[in-house]
Amino acid sequence: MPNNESNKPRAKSAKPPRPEKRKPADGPQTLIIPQISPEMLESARRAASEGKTREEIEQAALEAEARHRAETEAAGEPQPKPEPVPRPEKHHRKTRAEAEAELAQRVHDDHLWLNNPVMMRGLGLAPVVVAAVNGENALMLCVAAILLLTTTRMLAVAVCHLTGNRFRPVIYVYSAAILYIPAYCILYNLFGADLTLLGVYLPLLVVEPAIIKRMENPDLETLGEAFRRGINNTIGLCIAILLVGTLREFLGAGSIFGHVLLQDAPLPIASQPAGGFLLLGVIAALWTGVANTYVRYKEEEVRHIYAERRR
Amino acid sequence: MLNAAADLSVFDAVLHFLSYAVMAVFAENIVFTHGMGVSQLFKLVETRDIRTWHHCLPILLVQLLSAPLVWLCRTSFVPWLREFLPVWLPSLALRPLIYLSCATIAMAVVWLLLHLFGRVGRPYLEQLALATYNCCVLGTILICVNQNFTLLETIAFSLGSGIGYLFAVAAVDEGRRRLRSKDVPGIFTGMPISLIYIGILALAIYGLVGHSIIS
Repeated sequence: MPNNESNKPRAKSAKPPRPEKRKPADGPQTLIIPQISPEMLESARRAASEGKTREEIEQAALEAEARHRAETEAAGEPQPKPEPVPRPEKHHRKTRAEAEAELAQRVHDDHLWLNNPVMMRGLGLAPVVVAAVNGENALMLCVAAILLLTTTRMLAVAVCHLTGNRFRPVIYVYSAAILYIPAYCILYNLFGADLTLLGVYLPLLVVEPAIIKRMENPDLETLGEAFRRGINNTIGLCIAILLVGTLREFLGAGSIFGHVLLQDAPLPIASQPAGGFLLLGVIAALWTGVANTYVRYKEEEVRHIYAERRR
Repeated sequence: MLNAAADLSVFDAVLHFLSYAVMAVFAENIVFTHGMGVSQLFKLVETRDIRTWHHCLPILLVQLLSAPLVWLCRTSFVPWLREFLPVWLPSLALRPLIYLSCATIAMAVVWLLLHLFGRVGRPYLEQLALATYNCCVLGTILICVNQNFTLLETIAFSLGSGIGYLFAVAAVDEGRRRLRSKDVPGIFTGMPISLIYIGILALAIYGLVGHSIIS
């Protein structure tokens, strides 16, 4: 029985016979057959040396294989077991670069605190600065964001998959505008005429970068990713809106959700758009400071771990 | 032949137009007073690859061309549509869809116009979609609709709003260059100091217009 391993390289290096040649070959032919066994190979070589055509060689090889199988089964010989695939090491040690990259990815994906859409990335500023002047407005904006953000992202991604990721801006904006119709009906049932307090800032949500920012990214995400990121962004946006809204109400009117805490407002300008910009600037600075300190601490931790491992 | 009365009415119309345009640039500035388009403005100021003109000219053109369509929709299409809508569906729910369509039609016209300029128009074309779907454009449209502006007022306000956005971008761009000072504390650098800067500029506009903060 010829050695299978020693035959493989020769079989690979030989040219396959051209299909138009029907005449018997002059010299010995070599045939490449997928999942080749030694019996098949020997039979094919013998047929080729006899000057048979390609079809005949294939037929002879297949017959040889069938014969060998029948003999093996009749003799009750167990089939050779496939070699076990070596398992990857359970405790794969990360390199420092890998650990740092993982940390950077975790920071990037954390849309709640470390990469908040409003405080860190400056998205959704129009409703936060102007419309979220009190807790009630902030709550209405939060419900609108919950109804619109994730659904828009998922609908737009689904449509983008159908269009081959073309016309992204139009798809994202129209997805938001279409979903705004049921969202408005739900909001109207929940809040009634109070919804008019938001003015133009409620319909403006359909072009708000916090909701449609993804249209600028040419990489098409999956529906699952869209859902996960949409939920993360929604929570991050809601935290920021509620924080700014309640703080502005307290500073601008001395109350929280309509409950009067102070007779005199500590900072009346906070209820104006200019005050909104100033206050948001200060909150964003504090937020950035805390988030950057935490990220630096984690980076330092990674550095220490890898420095100790070297020792 | 024009007589004195006709001359006066034309003069009145021009004055009326200019007063609305100037109001939109300063007193009702879309960024400083209404806080719209700030996220896009930050991106524009931070990204050196995009020139201010390449983003702001499409905004200006789209606003100008969509203004008559918006007025037509508000005065004719929406009242007509209201007759066919079921009770459970208020026409307010359709506002973004209707007025975004006006902006999209205007975008298509601007796209054709910019294509006529060949290579010169290419950088503007790249920014056209992002400029059209900016808060500034839909915000201006919605303000015009809410205020029940006439055709002339709508066009004047849209033109002024586009110029106002350009003015705001130029002001923030200049401010950011100066705010890269080492005296600014580390946690304030970037977006926080820009927000505070915009807030101070908005306060300056309050001084111009007059706002009562303490009632």
